[in-house]
Amino acid sequence: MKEIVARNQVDLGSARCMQLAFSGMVFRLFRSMITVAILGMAVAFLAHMLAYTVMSGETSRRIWRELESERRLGTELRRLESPDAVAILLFHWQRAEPARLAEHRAWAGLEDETEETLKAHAAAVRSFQRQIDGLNPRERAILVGDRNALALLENLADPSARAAFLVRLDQMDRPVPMGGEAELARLAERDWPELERHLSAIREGHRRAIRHVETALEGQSLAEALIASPERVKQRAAAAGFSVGDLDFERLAAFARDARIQRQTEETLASQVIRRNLSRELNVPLVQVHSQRLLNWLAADVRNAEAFDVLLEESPLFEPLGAADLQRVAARALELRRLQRLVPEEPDLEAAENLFGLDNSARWLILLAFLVCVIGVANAMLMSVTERFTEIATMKCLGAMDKFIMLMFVFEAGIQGLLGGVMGAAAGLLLAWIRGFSEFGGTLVVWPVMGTVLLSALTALGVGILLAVLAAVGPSLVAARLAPMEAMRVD
Amino acid sequence: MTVTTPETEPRSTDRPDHRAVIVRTLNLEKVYGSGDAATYALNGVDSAIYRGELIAIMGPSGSGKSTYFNMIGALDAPSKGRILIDEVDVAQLSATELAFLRCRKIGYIFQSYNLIRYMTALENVTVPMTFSGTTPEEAHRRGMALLDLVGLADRWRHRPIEMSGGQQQRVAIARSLANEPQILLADEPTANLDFKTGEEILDILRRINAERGVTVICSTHDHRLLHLCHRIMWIRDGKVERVERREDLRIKTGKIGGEH
Repeated sequence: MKEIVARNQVDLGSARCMQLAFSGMVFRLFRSMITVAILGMAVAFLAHMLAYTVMSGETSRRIWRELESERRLGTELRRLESPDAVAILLFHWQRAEPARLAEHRAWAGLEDETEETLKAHAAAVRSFQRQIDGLNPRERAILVGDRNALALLENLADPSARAAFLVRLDQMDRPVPMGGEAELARLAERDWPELERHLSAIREGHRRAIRHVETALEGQSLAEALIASPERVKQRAAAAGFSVGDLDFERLAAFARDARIQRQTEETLASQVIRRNLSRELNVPLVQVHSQRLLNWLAADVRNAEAFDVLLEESPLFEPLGAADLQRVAARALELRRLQRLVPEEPDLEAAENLFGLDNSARWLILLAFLVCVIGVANAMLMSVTERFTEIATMKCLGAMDKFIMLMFVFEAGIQGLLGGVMGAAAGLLLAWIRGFSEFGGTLVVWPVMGTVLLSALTALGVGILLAVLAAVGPSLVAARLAPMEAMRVD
Repeated sequence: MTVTTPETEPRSTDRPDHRAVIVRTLNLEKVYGSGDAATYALNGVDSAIYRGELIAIMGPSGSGKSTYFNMIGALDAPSKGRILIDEVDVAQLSATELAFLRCRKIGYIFQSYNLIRYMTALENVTVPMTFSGTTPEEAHRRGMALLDLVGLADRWRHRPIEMSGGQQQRVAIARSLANEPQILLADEPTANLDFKTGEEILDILRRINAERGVTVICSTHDHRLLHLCHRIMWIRDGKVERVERREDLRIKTGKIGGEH
């Protein structure tokens, strides 16, 4: 046997393969560019979706937190002036908020054991509330009338009323709240009255604490005292049993001041004389002169000189504050309103920094775009292989092995995937930023989540390359397996 | 059968060595389709091609000539029968051994040149050397020598699109010689060329056969080849009709060369 025939062909390194793939691609520049563009678009879309989700999510969460802290300031200020409502107390008990519980303990002298019982009762009452609130309006009207759930619960302590309630419930085919008659009876007759007694005690304690603070402030209003000396108010509140540990009284003071200025502005505008003057000075109809409008003008520097003049002239209240304060308050109020519009509902705070915390519509969009891209890329690769059947056949005649031909196409796809991927990822990030910026403006959070954003771009890039290579494997496998003459016939 | 190794075989001869058979086919059949639709492109071809000869394969279109050609070039698998190249059964070879065979043992020349479009003349010539593992420097040197042989050394930088058909075919011939094959398969090498250019190509083929001792197998319609070849194999209806020596042919159809 002739040894020279029956020897194996040498295995070529991938460097040469890559070189061939590259020079082929450069030669078919136009077609390569189209493939790269298709890939780039797929990657851009994916990167954009991911990066935008990350950025807008983080921005929403931050805005929400800011709004929350602003709302909390309002709540805290109110708590220093009037006791919490029963519903709010119940809410705190069910959530077992340590700061509130500490206050309650101080005001009502609760023991640990009672506390546990009360927590359980509060949970039970909340669940009763939820069940009643969950009824549809018609059923609710028949069962509860215009009372709220707590008033109903009070009423149900009377056995005859409870019996009537149960009969009506039975007629509607509704389950008994709390799981059974005995449980309902216990809640209405024993647990709720006990809880209510304690809640009343807490409210009484709260009232005493408020009076204590009032006395300590020696006739000053809370707002005035806060503006004058936040630290002093803090000490007085702490002495009265309020948990002030994590509360920033400086901010509270600023909030109180801003709230006062806003209230003053509104009060000033209640005067018809001032409104008429403003209307004349600013040359706008009288109906358009209201606090919102005015805040807008003040904040946006539109006509504000005239508005200030009139306001400051007519109302002695503004004198100690001056134009700068008024403008700042206006800007802040506008900013808060803008943020509220941007994030009207609580975002998913748990989803923080999760790359794939996409909502359903985004997932569908991505899937759809992806299918389109898979088909586009697969088609481009198929074309690129079939139009080169002759070339493949020639190479096989010249001694190329199947593996080499496969590798060449896979390399080509990889290079195209890399090129398209890098450009697409960059474009996607840019798009995400533009979209986020147009939505959130300067509030858009970019740098703190840059790591996740880049990760999302890298993910999109990886997916793009993988997609290209996978799409190339099939057709090139077919091409490489063809007998050389079969390949030449196709042409 | 005499076993000759590449080392001892005569490298230069203008007379074919009639004792050494380099390509042999035994009862070769190729069927396209199956059942009633089955068409026999080749129907029992027994043939022998001798080492160092220049043989023309002639026959009308659809005679099975191209199929026979692809079979002996190990480009296509037969339905039945055996092909022995240098006494090795092609059907027994693995994919990598086939690749080796196509790379080193056989050089191919196609009707439509089949140069790789994005490569320069020199790159086209050196592709088979790359596949055979030759170093780039060596490949460059040998590639230039081969381009010089076909008279295109000064155009080594040109891409196929910048060359005429004749020049492309000459590059293809240089490429077919890249790994010093023992067999050169030329499939209608002059069909796409004008009269004069075709003559040049045929002359190059004759020179390669004469000077390098390469067995040249050339399928053609071009009757000028009859003056140059040692033997002519006539194929008709999937069978070898007859094989003639040139000397005999000249006596019988002396005027054929003047046609065209």
